[in-house]
Amino acid sequence: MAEILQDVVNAVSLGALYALFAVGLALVFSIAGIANFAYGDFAMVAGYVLVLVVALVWPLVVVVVIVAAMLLAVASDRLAFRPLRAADATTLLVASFALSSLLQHVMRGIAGNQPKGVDFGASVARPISIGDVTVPRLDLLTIVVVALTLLGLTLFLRRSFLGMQLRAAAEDFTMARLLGVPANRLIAAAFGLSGAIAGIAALLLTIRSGAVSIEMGLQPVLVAFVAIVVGGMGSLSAAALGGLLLGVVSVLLEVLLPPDLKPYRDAFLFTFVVLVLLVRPQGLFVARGAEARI
Amino acid sequence: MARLAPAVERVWPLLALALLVVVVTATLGPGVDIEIWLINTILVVGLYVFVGNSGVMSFGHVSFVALGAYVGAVLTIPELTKQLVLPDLPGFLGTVELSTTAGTLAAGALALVVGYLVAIPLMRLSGLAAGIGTLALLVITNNFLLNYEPLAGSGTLTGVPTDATTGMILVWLLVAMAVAFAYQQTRSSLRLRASREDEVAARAMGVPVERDRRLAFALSAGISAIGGALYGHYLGAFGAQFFYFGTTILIIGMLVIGGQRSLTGAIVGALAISAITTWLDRWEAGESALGIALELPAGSREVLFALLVLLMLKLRPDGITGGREVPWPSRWLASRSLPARTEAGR
Repeated sequence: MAEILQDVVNAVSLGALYALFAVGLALVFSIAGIANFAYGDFAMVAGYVLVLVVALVWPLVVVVVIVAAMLLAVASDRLAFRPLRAADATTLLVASFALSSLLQHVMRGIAGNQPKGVDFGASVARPISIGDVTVPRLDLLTIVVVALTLLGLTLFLRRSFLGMQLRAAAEDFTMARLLGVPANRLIAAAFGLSGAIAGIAALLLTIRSGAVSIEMGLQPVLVAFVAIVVGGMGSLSAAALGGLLLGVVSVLLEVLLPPDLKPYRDAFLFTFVVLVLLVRPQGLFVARGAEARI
Repeated sequence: MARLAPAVERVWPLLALALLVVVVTATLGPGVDIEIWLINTILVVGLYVFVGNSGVMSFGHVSFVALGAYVGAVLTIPELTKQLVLPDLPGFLGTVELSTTAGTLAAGALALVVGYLVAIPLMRLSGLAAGIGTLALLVITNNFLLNYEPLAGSGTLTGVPTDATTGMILVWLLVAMAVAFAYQQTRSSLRLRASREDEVAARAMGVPVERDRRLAFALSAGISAIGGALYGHYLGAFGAQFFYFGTTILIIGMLVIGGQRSLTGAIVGALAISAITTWLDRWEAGESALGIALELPAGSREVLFALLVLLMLKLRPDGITGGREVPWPSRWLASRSLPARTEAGR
C-alpha cells in the first residue's frame, strides 16, 4: 500500500512538472500559433543563470532566475519570431529549431560542454516520512509550486485586463486585433509569461538533478510538445491535463515495464502519443471542433 | 534539333543540376570533404521528395538515415569482424555478408517498406500535428538505438567497410536526383502539389491526399536510407547520437535555405550550406579558407548556420530559388530581353 502511494506521489509530481512545461508552451502556441521548440532552452539558459547567482540568498536567486528567463523569452520573440509574424506554423517551428540550436551553441561556447553541478535547494531533496510512506520533499514541493503557479496564472488570466486580452486573443486572434488589442505587445506578454514559467520549471528541474547541462531542456520540451498535442492544441487547460497525463503514463511505464524493456520507456511513451493522435487527432480534452474553418 | 529540343527542355532542370553536381565534384573535390557534401545532398533530396511535394514538414527523416546506416552496416560488415563488434546480432544477420552496393540497395528497399508502413498512421495527421508526429518518430528511433545493445547501443558501431568512393556516392546522388525528378512528373506529385497549395480544395477535387503522401513519404524514406548507408560506408564508424536533432536541423536548414519547393532548391541549398560550413570549419580550426585567414571560436559554425536559417526565413521564405527549377536558357534570355511580358508570352 505504502509503495503504491509513493508511486502515486511520484507520478503526480512528474506529471505536474510536465504540466507546467506544457502550459508554458501552450500559452504562446494558443495566442501566436508558435510551437516554440526553443522553449526548453529558455529553461536551460535559466539553469545556467542559476549557477551564476547561486551564492545569493535563495529568494533573490529565485527572482533573478525567473526574470532572466522572462527577458530571454521576450528578446527571442522580438528578434526571432516577430519578423516572421505572417509565416505559417511549420515555418515558425523550423525557426524555433534554429533558435534552439543557436541558444545551445552560444551557451556551449560560454559555459563549455560539461554539465555543471549546482548546490541549490539541497534541503528539499531529502525525503520526508508521513506515517510509513516516505516521499521526497521535492515531489511535494513540485506539486505545491506547480499548483500555485497554475492558480496564479488562472487568476491573472481571469482577473487582469491583460489576462482578458490574452484570453480573447487565444480565442480568436484576428477578431481581438480588430477590436483594438495590440498584437505585438500581447504576444510579447505571452512570451514573457511563458518565460517566467520556464524559469520556475528550471528551478525545479535543477533541484531534481543537482546539475545543469546544455541538453537539459530537450526532454522537457519534447514532452511538452507531445502534451499539447495529446491534450488538444490551443487550450491551456487541455495542455495542463495533457502534461499531467503524460507524467502519469511515464511513471506507470517505469513501474510496469519489465526490466529489460525499461530503457525504452520514451519509445513507448511516444508510441502512445501517436496512438492517441490516431484516435483523436484534435486532442483528448478538446470538446468543440478545433479544426480551422474555411 | 527541332525535334530534340522539346525532349531536352523537359528534362533540362535535371540535366543542368546533374552538370552542376558533377562540375562541383570535379573542381572542388580534391580540396574538401566532397563525399560529405554529396551525402548531405542525397539526404536533402530525400527530404525534399516528401516535404517539397506535400508541403508537410518532416522532422523524422533522420530516422530513415539511421535505418539506412545501421542496415547497410549490418548487411556488409564481414562475418569475422561482426563476431567481434556486433556479437549479439539475432538470426541470419550475424552471418550475412553483402557487397556495399547490394547492402545500400537493400537498406533503401527496406526503408521504402518501413516508410510506407510508418506513413499509414502518420499521414492521417496534418499540419502541425503531422510535424509533431514525425518528431515522435525521431525520438522513438533515437531511444531505441541508444539502448539496443546488439547494435552497439550508445557506443560507436565500427568495422563498416569503408569502400564508398567519391564516384560511387556521386552516382547514387545522380540516381536519387533522377528519381526525385521523375516522381515530380507523375500524377501523384501533381496532386500532392495541388494539396500543398490548398489542401481543402484539392480534397474537394477528389485528390487522395493521404495515399499520395504515403507514396511520397516511402520514396523519400528510401532515398534518405541510401544516403545513410553511404554515410556509414564512407566514415566506417558512427554512433546513434549522430542521428538526432543536430543532423535534423542541418538537413532541414539546407532545404529551407535552398528553397523547399523545387529540386533545384534542394541541391543548391545542400551545396551552398556544405560549402559555407566547410569554410567556417576551417576558420574555426584557425586555417585559411577562400584566401582569408580567420580564427573563429569553436561552435561559431552552428551559431552562424542557425542565424542564417532565421535570416533566410525572414528575407526569402521560399529560399534561394523561390521554388523555381533551373530555367530553360532561351526562355530565361527571352524573359531578360523582354521586361514587359504579356500573358501570351509562353
